[in-house]
Amino acid sequence: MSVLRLEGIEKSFGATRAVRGVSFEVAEGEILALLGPSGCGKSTVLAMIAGLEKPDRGEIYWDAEPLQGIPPHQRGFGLMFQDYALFPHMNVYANVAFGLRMAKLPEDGIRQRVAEVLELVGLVGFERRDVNTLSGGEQQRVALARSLAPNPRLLMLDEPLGSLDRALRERLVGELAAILKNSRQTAIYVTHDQEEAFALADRVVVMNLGRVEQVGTPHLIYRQPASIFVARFVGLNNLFEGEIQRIDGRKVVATPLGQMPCNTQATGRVMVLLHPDAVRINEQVGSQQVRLEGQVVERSFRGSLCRIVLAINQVRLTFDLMSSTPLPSEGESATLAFDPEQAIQFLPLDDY
Amino acid sequence: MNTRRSSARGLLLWLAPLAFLALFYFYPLGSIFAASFQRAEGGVIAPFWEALTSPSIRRVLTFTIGQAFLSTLLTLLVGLPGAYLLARYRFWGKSLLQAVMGIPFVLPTLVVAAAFNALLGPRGWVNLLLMSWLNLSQPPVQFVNTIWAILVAHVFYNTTIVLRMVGDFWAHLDPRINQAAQTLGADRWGTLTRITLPLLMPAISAAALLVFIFDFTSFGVILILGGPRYATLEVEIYYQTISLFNLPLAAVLSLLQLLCTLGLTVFYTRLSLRVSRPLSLRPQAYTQKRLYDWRSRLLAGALILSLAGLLTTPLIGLAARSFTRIDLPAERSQTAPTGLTLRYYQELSVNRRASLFYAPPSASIGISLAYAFATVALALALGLPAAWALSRSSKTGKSISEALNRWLDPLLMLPLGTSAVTLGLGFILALGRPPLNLRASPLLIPLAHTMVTLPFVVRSLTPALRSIRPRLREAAAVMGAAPRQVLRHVDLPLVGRAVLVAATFAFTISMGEFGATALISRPEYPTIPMAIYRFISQPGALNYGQALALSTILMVVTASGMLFIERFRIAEVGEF
Repeated sequence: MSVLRLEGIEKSFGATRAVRGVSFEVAEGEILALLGPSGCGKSTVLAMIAGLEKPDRGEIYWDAEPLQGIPPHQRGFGLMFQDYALFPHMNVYANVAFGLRMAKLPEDGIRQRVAEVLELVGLVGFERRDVNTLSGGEQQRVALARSLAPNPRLLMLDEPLGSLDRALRERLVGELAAILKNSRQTAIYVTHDQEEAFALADRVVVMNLGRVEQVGTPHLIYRQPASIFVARFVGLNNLFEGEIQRIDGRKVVATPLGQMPCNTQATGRVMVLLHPDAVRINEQVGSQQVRLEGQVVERSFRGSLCRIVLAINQVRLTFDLMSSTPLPSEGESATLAFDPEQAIQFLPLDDY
Repeated sequence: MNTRRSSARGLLLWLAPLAFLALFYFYPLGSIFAASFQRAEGGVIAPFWEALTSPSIRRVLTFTIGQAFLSTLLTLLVGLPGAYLLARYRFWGKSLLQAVMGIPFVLPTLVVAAAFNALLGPRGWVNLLLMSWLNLSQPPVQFVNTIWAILVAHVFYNTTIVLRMVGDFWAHLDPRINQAAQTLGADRWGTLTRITLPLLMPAISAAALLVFIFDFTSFGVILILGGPRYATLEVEIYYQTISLFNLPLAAVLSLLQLLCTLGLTVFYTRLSLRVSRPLSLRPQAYTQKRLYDWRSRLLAGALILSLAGLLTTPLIGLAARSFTRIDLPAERSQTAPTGLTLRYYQELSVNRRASLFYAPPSASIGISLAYAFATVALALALGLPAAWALSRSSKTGKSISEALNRWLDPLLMLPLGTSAVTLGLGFILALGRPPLNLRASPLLIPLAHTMVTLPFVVRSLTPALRSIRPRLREAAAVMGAAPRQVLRHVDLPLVGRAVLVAATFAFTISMGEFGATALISRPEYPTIPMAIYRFISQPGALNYGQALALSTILMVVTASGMLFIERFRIAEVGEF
C-alpha cells in the first residue's frame, strides 16, 4: 500500500512554472525513480516532499496525513544531495552522527548506529577523517551513511551519482541498489540517467517540463513508452511519421518505409516507433511480414556492441548489434525484417 | 643563468620601495624607540612600567579596549543580518545598495564626525527640529561628547566591513548544507548554531578583528565626537605630543599601541588566509534566491531601509545642513532669516580676520589637492615596481627573487598595522632634525600620505599584474615584439585600469588623511581635514557652517573616488 502520495503539485519560481500538476504514489519498501532531463522539475518535487519548498497548489500525504505545514526537520525524511552537501567543518563521524544528535539519542546509541551504517557503506575506520580529504566515491558513501543513520521513513536521493565518473558510477549503482533493497528502505531516487533508474528502481516516474509523462515499471517504460519524449529519453530513436488508413476494411499505416498492416485504435497522423530489439537484420528466421531493403550509411564500433545506421527512403534507423556477429559494412545494403505486431508502436503526434 | 638575471632585476625593482620604507618607516620608528628609552635608567621595561602603572594611562588603555570591544560587538549585531540578506537574496537595487554601503568606509573621519554633528550635534537637525517643535531654548539631545557618539560613528564606519567580508563568504556557502541539516532533523536554531555560524566563523572573526583594529586605533571620531572626556591611546599620543609636548611618553604609548596592532594584524592575516580556503564555495547565482513571499519581502525591506538609513542619513543630513541656515534661538535676533543658503560656501574664500598667516579655507582645497597629486605620483612610482616584483613568481618558487618576495611582501604591509598618529610622531621625531631635516619641506605631508597609501596601492596593483599570464607576453614575443614593445602593447593596456584604481585609492586617502597630518602639518598650510577640525572646534554658526561645507566637499570627492574604485577594481573574496 502506498505511504507517500502527491496530488496535483504545482510550483512556480517567479514566471517559471517548475512543476505543473504532478501526482504519483510510493509504496512502502519501494524504490521509485524520478527520471527526467535537467530542469524538468524533479529536484523541486524532491525539495517539496522534504519540506524545503512549499507547493503553490496540491497536497502531499504521508500515510494519508497531509504534510503541509510540517517543517523539514519534523518530517523524518532523509535527503541525500547532489554533491552530497557534507558539513565541511565536521569529520566523517560527526557528519554521520548529526541526525542522531538532533534526535537526541544517547551518546553510546549514536556510536553504535554510526558504526552500523559506516559498515553498511563500507567505510569502517574512516570515523576521524576530514570529509574534505575524501575522494568523490568516499564522500558519496558518507552522504549515504549520514542520510541512512536516523532510519528515515523515506530516503530521497538527488542525483547521488551525478558527479562521479562512469566506471565508479556503474559500480556504485549496484552497491546502492543492494543497500537500499537489503534494508527495505522506501526511497525516491532522482536521476537523469535511464540506465541508473532502470537498474535501481521498482517503478519509474518520467518527468518532462514539470509534468509526469509516464509512470510504470522499468520494463513497461522501455517496452511501451507513452510519448515521443519518453521514447527518445530512454534511447528509442527510431521514430518516423505515419498515417493510419483503412484499406479494404483493414487498417494499415502508410509510412515513408511503405505500407504496413497494423492493429490499433489510433487514427489519423501518428508517430511510429520501431523497436530495435524486435528487428532482425540480414537474418532469415521466422516468417516476418515486413521485409525492407536499406543501405548502411554509418557503422561505428562501440565495444561489445556495434552501431549500424540504415537509411531507407530518407528515414535513418539506428540499431545496436552484437559486434561478434557478421555485420554489413558501410555502403553495403542490408535487409531489415520485423513483425509489425511486435516491433511497431504508435505514439500520439502532439506538440513535438 | 636566466634565474640569476631575473633575480638581479627583482632586487632592482625592490630598491626604491625598500629605500623609501627604510627612510620613512623604519627610521621614524627607530626614533620612537630611541625616544622611549631615552630616560630609561631602570632598563628596557621601566618606561612601559611607568606608563602602565600611571592611573591616567591605565584609564586610557581600559577605555581604548572597552570602546573597541563594544563598537565591534555593535557592528556585528548591525552587520550580520544585512550580510545574510545580501548573501542569500537577489532583489531590485541590490548593487546600488552595495555601492552606497561602501561609502562610509572610505570617508575621512572628519567628514563622519561632521556628519554626525550635523545630524545629532547641538546645531544638528534632530536638536533643531525638537527645539522648534517643543519650543525649547536648549538642545535636548546630548549626543556629541558622549560614548554613544563614538559607538554610533564606529558602527557607521565599520558595518561595511562586516557586510562585505561576511556577506561575500556567506554568499558562496552552499545553502544545501543547511538544507541537509534540516532534513536530518535540525530546526532553525540548530541549523544556525551548528552549521551556519561554525562555517561562517572564520569570516566573522576576521571581520570582527579588522573592525576591532580600526576601532582600537580610532582617532578623528574620538577627538571630535568624544570630546575632551574620552581619549584612546591614539588620541592620548596626540595630546601628549601636541598639547603637552611630552614626546618620550608619546613614544612609549606609540610603541605600546604598535605592539598591540601588529599582534592583531598578524592574527588577522592568519585568519583571512583561512577565509580564502575553499570550502565547497559555490557561485552566487546558485546560492541566491529572490524574495518570493510577502513576509520575507517585508522583513527584508525593513532591514534594507534601516541599514540604508543608518548609512546614509548622516551623510544626507550633512550635505543638507551645509546649504541650510538655521540659527539657534539665542542667536536668532541679530541674524538673517532661516532658509537655503550658499553663504557657508562663499565664506570659504574670505579671510575674515585679514590676518597674515591665516589662509582662507578655500586655500586648503588647493593645498590638499597639491598634496594628493604628489602622493599619487610618489605612491605609483614606488608601488608599481614593488607590485611588479611581487607579481613575477617563478615556476620553481625557489629563486632568490621569490624568497625576496616572501619576505618583502609582509614588510610592505607593515604600515597598515601602524597607526597614523604613530607615523606622524615618528616623522616629528626623526625628520625634524639633521641628518634628514624635512620639517619645512612641502614634501613632508605627501611622504607621510604615501606611507599610508602604499599598502593599498600595492594590494590593488599586484592582482592585476599577476593576471597577465606569461603566455601573453610569450605570444607577443613570438610575434616579434621586443621586450619594451611587449611592455607597451601588452602589459600597460592591461594594467592601466589597475593603475587608475590605485591612483584613486592614493588620491582619496590622501585627501582625507587626518591622523598623521594632525601632527606634522603646519598651521599656514592646512589641508581640508585640518581646516574642518579647526572650524568645528570653534564656536559660532558661521564656523559650524563652514566646517560642514568643507566636509561636504570632501565627502563628494572621496565618495566619487570610492564609487570609481568600486566599478573598476578586480573583486576578490575576503580581501580589503
